[in-house]
Amino acid sequence: MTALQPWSRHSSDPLPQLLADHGSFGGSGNLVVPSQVEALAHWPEIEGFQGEVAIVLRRQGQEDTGEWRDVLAIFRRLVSQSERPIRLLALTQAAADSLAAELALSVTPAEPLPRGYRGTTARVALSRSNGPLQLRKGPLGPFPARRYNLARLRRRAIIEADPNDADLSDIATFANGEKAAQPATQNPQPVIVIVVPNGTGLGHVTRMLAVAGKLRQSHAARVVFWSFSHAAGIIHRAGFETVLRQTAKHLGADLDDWLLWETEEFASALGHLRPDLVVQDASNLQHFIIDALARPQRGAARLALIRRGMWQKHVLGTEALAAEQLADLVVEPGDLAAPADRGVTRGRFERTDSFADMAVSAPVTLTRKDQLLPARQARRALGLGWGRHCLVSLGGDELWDWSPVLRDIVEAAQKQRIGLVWARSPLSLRDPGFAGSRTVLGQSRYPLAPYLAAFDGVISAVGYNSFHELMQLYDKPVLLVPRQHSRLDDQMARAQFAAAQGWATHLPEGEPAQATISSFMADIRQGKVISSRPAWRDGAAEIADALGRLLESGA
Amino acid sequence: MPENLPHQIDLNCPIAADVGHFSPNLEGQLSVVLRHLGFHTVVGAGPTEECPNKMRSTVGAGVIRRELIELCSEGRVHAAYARLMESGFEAAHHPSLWELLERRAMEMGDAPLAHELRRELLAADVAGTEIVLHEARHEIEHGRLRTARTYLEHAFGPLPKVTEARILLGAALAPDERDRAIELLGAAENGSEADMLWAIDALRGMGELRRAMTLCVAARKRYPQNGSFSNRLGWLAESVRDFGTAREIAKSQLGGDSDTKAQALNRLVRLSQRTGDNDAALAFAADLLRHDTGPLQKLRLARILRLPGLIEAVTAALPEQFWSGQLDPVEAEKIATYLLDEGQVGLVLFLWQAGLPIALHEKRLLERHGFGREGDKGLPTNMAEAISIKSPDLLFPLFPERRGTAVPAGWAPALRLGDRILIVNSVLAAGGAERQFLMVARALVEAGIQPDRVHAALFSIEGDRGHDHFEGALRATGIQVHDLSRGNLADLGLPERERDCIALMPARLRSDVLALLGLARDLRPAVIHGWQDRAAIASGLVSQFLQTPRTVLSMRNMRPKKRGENADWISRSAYQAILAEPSVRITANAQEGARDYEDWLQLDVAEVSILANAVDQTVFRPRPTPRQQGEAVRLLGVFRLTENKRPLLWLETVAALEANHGIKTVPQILGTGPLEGQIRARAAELGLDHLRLDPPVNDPSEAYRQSDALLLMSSVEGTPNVILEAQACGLPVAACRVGGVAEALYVNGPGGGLLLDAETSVQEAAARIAAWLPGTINTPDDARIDFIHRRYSTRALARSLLGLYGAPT
Repeated sequence: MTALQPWSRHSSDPLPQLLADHGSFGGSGNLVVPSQVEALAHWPEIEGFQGEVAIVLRRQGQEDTGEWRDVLAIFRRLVSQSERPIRLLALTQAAADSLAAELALSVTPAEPLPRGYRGTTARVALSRSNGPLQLRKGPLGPFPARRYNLARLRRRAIIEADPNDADLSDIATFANGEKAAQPATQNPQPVIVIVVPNGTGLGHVTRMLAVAGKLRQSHAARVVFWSFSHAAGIIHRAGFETVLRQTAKHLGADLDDWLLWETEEFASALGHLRPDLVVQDASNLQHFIIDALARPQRGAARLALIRRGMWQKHVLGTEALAAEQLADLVVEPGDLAAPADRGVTRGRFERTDSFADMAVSAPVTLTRKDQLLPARQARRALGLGWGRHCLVSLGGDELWDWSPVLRDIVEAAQKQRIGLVWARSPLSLRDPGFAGSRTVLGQSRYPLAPYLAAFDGVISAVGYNSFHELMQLYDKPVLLVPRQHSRLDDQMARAQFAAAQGWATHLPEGEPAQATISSFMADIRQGKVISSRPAWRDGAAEIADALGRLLESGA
Repeated sequence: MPENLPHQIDLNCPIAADVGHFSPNLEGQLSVVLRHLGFHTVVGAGPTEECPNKMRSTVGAGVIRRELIELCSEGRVHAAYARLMESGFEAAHHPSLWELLERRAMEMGDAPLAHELRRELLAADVAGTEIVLHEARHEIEHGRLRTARTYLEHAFGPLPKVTEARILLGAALAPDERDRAIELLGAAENGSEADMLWAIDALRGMGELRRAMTLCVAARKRYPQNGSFSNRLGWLAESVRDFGTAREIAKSQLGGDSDTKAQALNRLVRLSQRTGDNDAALAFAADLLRHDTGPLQKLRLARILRLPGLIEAVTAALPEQFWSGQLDPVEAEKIATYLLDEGQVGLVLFLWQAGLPIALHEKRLLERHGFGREGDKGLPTNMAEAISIKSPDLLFPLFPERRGTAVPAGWAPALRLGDRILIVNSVLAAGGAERQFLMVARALVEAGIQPDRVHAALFSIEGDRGHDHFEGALRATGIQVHDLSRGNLADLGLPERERDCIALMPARLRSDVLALLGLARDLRPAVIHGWQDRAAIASGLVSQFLQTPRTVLSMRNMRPKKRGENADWISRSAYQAILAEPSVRITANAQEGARDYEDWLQLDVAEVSILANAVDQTVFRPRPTPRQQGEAVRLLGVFRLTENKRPLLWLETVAALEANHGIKTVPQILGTGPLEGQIRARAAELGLDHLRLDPPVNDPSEAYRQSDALLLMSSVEGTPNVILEAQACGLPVAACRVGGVAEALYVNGPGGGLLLDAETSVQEAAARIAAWLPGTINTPDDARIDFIHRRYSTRALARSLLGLYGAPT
């Protein structure tokens, strides 16, 4: 059976979320009505429905006794005078007995749900004694329950309810399911939707491509990207299903209108894909994800947030941190410069007072160590000739005017007879000059990390991906050129930390660059090798495993 | 009018010519707009000395007439207007042209233009009778009764012979000259359908419900096809508590179209509820829900039956219905207005968020309150959030900027000589609380307060509704009595913030506050004393608006919800916001009620003080002679025949006294109510053929004096006046221990009363009464009477009141 979605779509009643998760109600052509109140509101439609009708009757919740009795009395009249067969269900045996006695009609317990949560320790308590439904996780909370979906919660924890609320207790019992109940036919291939925002650069996309690859490889997952990034083409070329979306800014739309629209679209996609997990790589969970996931028939999926650290110290993101209370898991991709992290997320992965489980992984790189090409092969592949070559990779072009630095780089390189190879970001819309060089590596060389051995030195911006690729997968001189922008991570701190460790040199902010660049070029000329950099670790695999464990914690 | 513009604009003079010629249509519209702005326009009257460029009309009236007809037939009524003005044929000399255009404007539904044309004719004093009648009707519909009256009396004299003029003049006179209005409206009996409707509505507005009903009955006979008369008759019958007629009318409408049937079913639900027949109410509700009716009627039903879950379920489905075309925009707007009137602001915002149409003025109102896409409060995105946003809760605190002002708790200036006191109650119906309201007025006057300083305001004292039971007695105290239903609320000239705040209140609270605010602003009392929940909340809010020095709120015997009345609009948050003001005091008439309100409003213990009832000792005098021994015991019950008075338990207990304990009784009940039939039947079953079941009387003192004991078996009570009154007359009382009964009953001493358990059985009650009664009824009355005189006297009440009002001791 299937609940009449339009009726319950906006309801504050949590039961439709569970009914949509019920194997017997998952088909089509029949109708299940989630309460006697809904039945009263839509009786002519029930009478006129072509197909089987079941109505789930509810014990008294927070409503007055008078209201509950009156609704049942009206309902009884409607049912008694109806000629169409209607199956009356209750959520538990006790509820069925009680309601049957109240109505003097036959009420049977609904088939139980299979058990959702596989563990024994996690508990979530529901209550609506103080108004709208709230939940607590141990000592944490209360959190407004409307932002969660019971079908998701029941896979994360044992649901408990206020014992004074008979209806809520029935819902909790029903949500917890029974071990003996027939498990719903499960898709052996988990479906994972990854949402990537339209960030600056390729950080989110690159990180999630690494994780997605692992999920596909080690968990046989079907991964679908919901991408606001213009780098959707890269995702698609990596072999992932991709839904390209537009932000309100792209469309020039009113933010609220866009939000409504995006919620509808995302909810529709969830209904179609029925994912087991939704992952967003961002600083915060977007509202449309939360709202869509809270809808009936949309929200069995667990929700994870991949949130990198190293926020700039002046960004006081307390509002963004609230997302921790909405996700099941928050993973911070590790940062080699974490000891220099001065942002608000510093150390949050150690917290235990959040609704979400918190974790930190090793640094994530899209390129694995075993994917690196030997120097000769890499040079050949890039068409580089003899002599010294330095890669210049300064990221996207929208945030900084690089021209003063470029001039110094070109002059220093010419002095040392070093050829410059310019990496252009796949997102770059314009050629930032490239100082007349004809050696430009564009989108076709994404990702560039496998070819690093081709270069005798690298000048790079200090974004998460570049930094960790260079520090873990490369052993030649690196000059870090941090960009400080409020939308970016704290690149300066990262660069300073790396310099302090002897891993790289960096251009200090506001100081003349010429001497540093000349010295760096001299190192390249001398063929200097840096041996102190940390070993590569597979952060993507660690995140994929954490997501896998999240999936496995519930049915 | 803008200050920097001339007050007169000549559309033909060079100023206008400088900006080019107006098209006739534009000119006409411009003229109307300018007139609305307060300019006097001069158009097309030909060249004058002041404006020599003007062209004098060169065509005759007949040509203009044809042109007007032609333009109107093309639907260009404004172009016709412009042509008429351009022609120079002024209303004073060519009224027929202006009348012609007025008729066409009316036919085309252009009321503003028709009104404009009529004003020209009236100003020129050439308006025909039809024009006067049209304009008078227009003015009455827009609340300008005095203007309508001037037109009508000028054209038809003080006693018009034309029926329609008589009716309209009657309607226009209604607020000011009641008797004359009634006389004039009497002509409607022989009038047209429209006359009768006008007269019925005018009489209804005056509170002359029975006259309106009589006219409705006549109109239904003459115009049986016109459903408006049935609708009105049903409403009127219900208002005067003629539930039989109201039910009959509603049932007769069940065969009507879908909406009529749904309305009739809703009315039957309400009528059944009012008569205590819950089963019938639920049966009609099921009929309505089975019927394929629109969401508005379902919402009304949910409101009548107090089913908030159903309101949510119906509202949650509206977006889908709207976007699938099942709900048209006009209906959607009506629903939003209805929900706003019910205080369901969050649900309206939810509909707004979902894209349903909301009336522009309502949207603006909500925006000014910070809601909407651009507002700091935004719009709720889901139902759980939406249902928690309710008015009046969201309005508080009304004046946050006043918070934190250093005023010591309980501070208020002392009452000065000459200060006014405004006491407020809902109505003056025949009830215990209303009697106590009267006692307040008496106590104040007896305490030496000049009667002209005391003002009593009532939301209604309509006789036909039974709201005037104590009106005569109240007026006899010499105080000023104000019927708030007669106030003109059209324009109180409130600041925008206050106006918006009131506009966002639930409709019922809104009208109460507006009505009281108008009076209180004129009187500027030093004390406002609100009596019972409805008046208390309105009084408290008005006090906040006016910063009245002292406010007293006198509660009933228990929180609204416990009383089981349709009182869910009485907001706890409103009480709490009002009580946060240091100048506000709250009272109850018994400890039980005080504790209940403290619990409900989360107040400290003893924050609700006791303002005990007073018994009128001039009415409730002691019995002259004690009963004769050996006679049958005259057992009296004075209560309404409803569930919570447990009249069947009363009967069965009396029967058991006779059957099991051999006590001969003469049982008498004074009361009426929905259980009357059941009581008669049960009495017959029990063999209590000698039971006297009499209707309630205004003054039950004689009944007390002719009885031997009072028996009260209620399951719910506050401080029952009947217990106080009976004891004041010397009667011993047996009653169940509920509410404030124990406090009001003299128990410890000779001839003391009997307290029965709240959940007593028949047998237990009968046994205890049988043991108590013989000794008690033969004991002298003095102790009981003295108990009442000490605790429940007018003097004690006055002392408490003056303390609350800050009168110097």
